[in-house]
Amino acid sequence: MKLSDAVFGLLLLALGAVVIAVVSSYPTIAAQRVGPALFPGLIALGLLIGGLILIVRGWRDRVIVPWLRFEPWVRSPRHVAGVLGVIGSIVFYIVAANWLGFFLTSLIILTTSFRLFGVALGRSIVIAAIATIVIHFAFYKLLRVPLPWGVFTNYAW
Amino acid sequence: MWEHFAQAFSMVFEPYTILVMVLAALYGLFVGAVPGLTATMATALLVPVTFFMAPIPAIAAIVTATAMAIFSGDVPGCLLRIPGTPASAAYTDEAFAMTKKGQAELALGAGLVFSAIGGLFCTVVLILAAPALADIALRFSSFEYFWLVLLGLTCAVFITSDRPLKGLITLLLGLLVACVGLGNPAGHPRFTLGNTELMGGIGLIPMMIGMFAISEILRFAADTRPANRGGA
Repeated sequence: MKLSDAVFGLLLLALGAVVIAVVSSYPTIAAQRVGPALFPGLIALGLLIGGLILIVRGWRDRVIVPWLRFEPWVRSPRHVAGVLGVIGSIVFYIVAANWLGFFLTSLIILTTSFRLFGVALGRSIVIAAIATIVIHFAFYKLLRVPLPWGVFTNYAW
Repeated sequence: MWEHFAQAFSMVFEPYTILVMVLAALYGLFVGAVPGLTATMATALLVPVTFFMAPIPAIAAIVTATAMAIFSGDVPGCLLRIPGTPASAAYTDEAFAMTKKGQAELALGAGLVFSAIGGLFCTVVLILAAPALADIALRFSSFEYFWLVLLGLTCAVFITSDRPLKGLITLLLGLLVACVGLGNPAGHPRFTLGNTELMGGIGLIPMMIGMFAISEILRFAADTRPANRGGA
């Protein structure tokens, strides 16, 4: 999926506007002109200017560059499922890891990913289970990363 | 002076020290090649082990593991387009392009040879000029840091692409990400959305994994050429 410069410019304008709106409510430090809003404000100003230039450029090239161009994978349900699966599994980990625990979350994510990329069901579950245990051992035991236990909190080792 | 060099070399080339260096090199190779684990982490994990060693093998182990971990970040960068350490991120695309042309050995070899040359050159500079460098380093104040950062950011714009405007916009987006957290002079939580995890800011490693590893997985997921689907 490719966006034209003009569409990117619009997105940057929107981002710049949101940033300026957010930083305008930041407090100022007494007797100082430099506060927490200054630097993000400057960046947002840069984004607005860059966005405007991109819109002008995209508008100038509108006959040769379409607003939105889809690549072949968008028409293949299997590839769309793969892309959505990758993004979905990250969101799923963020949302579910703390209450479901690392073991179940990782098992679900890995099995689903393997299935989406065409691995047989039995093999997916076995590889996902082994990978989960190895990752947990390496990161929880060896590297001391506090992976969440979730529903297994009472059985933590 | 020369007898000191001879003494130093005889201390380093003891069989025990060499064995420690070989093991530390293998360990550094592994840690550096795993995306997300850095040379700093390799050193941190090695320090408790070195408590039980004599000083020279201990320092040799740490130096070897660090140098090796920084080089071996090139291995996944070159072969998978996912840099193993932040140091390898700059030329990941070029190294992977060489791999696609069947020149992976050349790309990795160049990385290895030049990281070794760079390391040796820096050691020579440190041996010869450490006191002078320390003198300059002590005089570095906010002004010097400001101009140094400005120089780095300016270079970033001109390196990123053949179109400086897009480079500049990407740079601004990066700076915006760096604004997240409490790390500003006022200590005010910026863009944290009330999330305590975001108060510490967004680290380099999660950023790198997101930009390189996740994007490479997405690229694989969206690849419609049949040869790349592994028989699926």
